[in-house]
Amino acid sequence: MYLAQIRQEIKKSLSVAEKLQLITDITHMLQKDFQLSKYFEKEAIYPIFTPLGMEEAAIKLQEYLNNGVL
Amino acid sequence: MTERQFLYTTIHPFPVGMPIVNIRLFHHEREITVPALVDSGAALNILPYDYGLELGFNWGEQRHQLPTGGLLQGAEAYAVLIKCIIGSFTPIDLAFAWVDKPSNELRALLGQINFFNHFRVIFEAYNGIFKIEPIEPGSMDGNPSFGLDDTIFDRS
Repeated sequence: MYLAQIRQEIKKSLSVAEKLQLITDITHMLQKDFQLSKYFEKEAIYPIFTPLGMEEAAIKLQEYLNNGVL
Repeated sequence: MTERQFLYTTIHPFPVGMPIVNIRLFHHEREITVPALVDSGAALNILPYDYGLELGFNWGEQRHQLPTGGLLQGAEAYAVLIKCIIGSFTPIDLAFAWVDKPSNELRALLGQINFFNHFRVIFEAYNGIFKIEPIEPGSMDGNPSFGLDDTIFDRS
């Protein structure tokens, strides 16, 4: 839908109260986007380094340490 | 021994940065200094493959294999003990999982076993610093050998 169409639709089908509500909703949406943009860069890759699923290896490593085999 | 403060390292695109500390690793006559991520979510210390080679470890001679899973599924890992100096603290023996993945794919990590058994760490990302303090022998509230019978790990 083009902006001109949306504008026309809003003009004829929304009440004053609904238009004000729409302004509030859009303002909140933009505020949220702005807040997030402080922390996350668009399309940047955020690698996670923590090797999940290594608990069994950790237990084994501790056993090696306890048994003094290292 | 008092605590030491370290600055978070800013790595694009992280605006806050990461708790990375330079550690000196010693094995026989060799010494290397590498950046390591202090990772409270890592179950164990991780040593990338090339760091192990630089220290003189021989992959083919390793005997203490470790099971791998999760993000390291399919990788091979062996337990190695390395003398380590962090900041100006007394040298300590840290056990690492030496993994067959290079440092450009896998960071050196300081994890629960056994880095966090020997150091108290306070993260203050909001101040851009983290603090490390060695735990004096005998000062631990719990079992210093990390009792495996009442381990936090769920074996089920």
